[in-house]
Amino acid sequence: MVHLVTSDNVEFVVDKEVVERSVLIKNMLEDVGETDQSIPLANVSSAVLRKVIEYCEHHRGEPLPSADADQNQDETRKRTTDISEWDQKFITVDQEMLFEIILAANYLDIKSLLDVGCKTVANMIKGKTPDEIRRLFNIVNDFTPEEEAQIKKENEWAEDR
Amino acid sequence: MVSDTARITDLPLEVLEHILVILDPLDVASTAQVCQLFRGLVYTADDEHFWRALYLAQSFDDPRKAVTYLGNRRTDIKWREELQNIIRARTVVNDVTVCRPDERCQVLRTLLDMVTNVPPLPFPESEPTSRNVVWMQTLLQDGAFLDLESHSHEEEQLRARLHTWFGLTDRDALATQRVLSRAYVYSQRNYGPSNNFGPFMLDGSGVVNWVHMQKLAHVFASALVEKEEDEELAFEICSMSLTFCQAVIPPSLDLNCETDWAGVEGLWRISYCFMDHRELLIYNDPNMPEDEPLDHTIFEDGELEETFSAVDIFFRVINVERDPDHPTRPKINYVGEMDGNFSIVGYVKLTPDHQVRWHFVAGNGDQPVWWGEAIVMGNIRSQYGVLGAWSTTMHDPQDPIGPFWMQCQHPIED
Repeated sequence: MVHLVTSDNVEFVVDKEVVERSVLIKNMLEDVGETDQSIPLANVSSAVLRKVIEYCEHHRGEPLPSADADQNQDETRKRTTDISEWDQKFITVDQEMLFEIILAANYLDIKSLLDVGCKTVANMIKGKTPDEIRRLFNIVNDFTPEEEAQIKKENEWAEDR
Repeated sequence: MVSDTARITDLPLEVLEHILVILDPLDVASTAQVCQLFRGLVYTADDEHFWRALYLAQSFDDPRKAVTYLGNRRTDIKWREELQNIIRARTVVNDVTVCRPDERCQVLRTLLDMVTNVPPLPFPESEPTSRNVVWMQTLLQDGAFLDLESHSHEEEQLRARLHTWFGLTDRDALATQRVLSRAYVYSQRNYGPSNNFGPFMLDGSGVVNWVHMQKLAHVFASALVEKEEDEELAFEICSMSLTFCQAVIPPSLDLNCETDWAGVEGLWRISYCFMDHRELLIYNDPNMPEDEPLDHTIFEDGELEETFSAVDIFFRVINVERDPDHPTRPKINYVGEMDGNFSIVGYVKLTPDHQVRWHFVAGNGDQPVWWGEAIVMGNIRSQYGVLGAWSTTMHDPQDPIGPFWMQCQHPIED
């Protein structure tokens, strides 16, 4: 079993096999060897880690993406935005939690979870106008009028959709 | 109050980029217009790193693995510009009413670039692998875009070239379309000394006339489909189509050093069509004034006798001659023989517009009777083969003409 401590100081005790879906933790454990000491995760809150562990539990035992696939990322990266049913249900959370999960997956280096998170955000953006995207994510339009003209020009190729 | 909950703009740049790359390019353009952060990711990066990733995430061939139709590796890939052009072309094909007057030719050039720059196949029997081809077939199969009226000579030629490469569309199956193509192919007005009695411009330039090529392809492919029992299946798998346009270049072959760069040596099947000679003469009525169109009705009753025949001939390269305009693609002189009696003498040479032209004369003994002019379809050494028009060496106004198609059956491997 592996002991993890979150940013809000909550301790989790997790199966080694489950937690090793995180490449970061897997490498750490390989470096320090067998240990009873807990691993501090200063960037992850308990609410988020609970979700991350739920994900890792469900996908326990599935093959991890090989380092080889990572090298050829350009080629293997498919544009498919399909997400499996369980993952879809798992990732149906509010926006803040979604971004927290993505941040955690990125930090902990869990590629498949990062993919699910990114695909979910991509699906939210799909087919929306710039204005709709701003409203969706509560982003302020910070372009100057001069920039607006330039932006229209550089996106001419994407008009008439 | 400053919130410390996570927002999309808190995500690391490489994660935001990951999200953008899985989006359709049109969604990327929308996102780039949201705020400085996203615009910076998409447009102001110095290198083409982002656009290459986005390009490669689409269902297209990797341009780094593609060769040009003459078999050269691509060295000048402009990821951003090319992807934007492709997406624009897709928008226009799906709704031609949005096409701006000044982009009509650009859209066609983009589509042609996609089908003329595809990965080569290693062997003649390899299965087709091009993703550009599959994409293009979905986009153009109904034929509506390829049958649009062109606004200029250049546009007409580009559209006809794309159509010829593409092969039969759904609209090409219409009887009315076939009448027009046969009327063109069998009109002696389209053959003369100025175009070498072949599918070239009538101005003597030696440049390929793609309108003529498209009519030849339509007439010939329709005949090919018709003679199969299951016409619908034949239509789908017709060899004269984009599916068979990939170049066949064995890994060990360096085309720039290879004498027989065109893949002439080997066993070829020459298939040809002709219509009933009396009907040909009736159609090409010499009393019809030059400025009046010929009467098409002979092709309209559906009873037209068009005969289809084929011979297998073994071609050998005799020698090559330097071509100052194309140093790595010299003129290839070849001969062919059948039954020690019928023989062919000809050459393969690039045209001024860099198309691969096959010329030959053929006949029994020393007196050639037949004359052929054809152009390689698809990429160099493709499975599609060579398409053109045959006539006679005398070029008498009473003499027959018709379309022909050659496909390599067994190439000779070194």
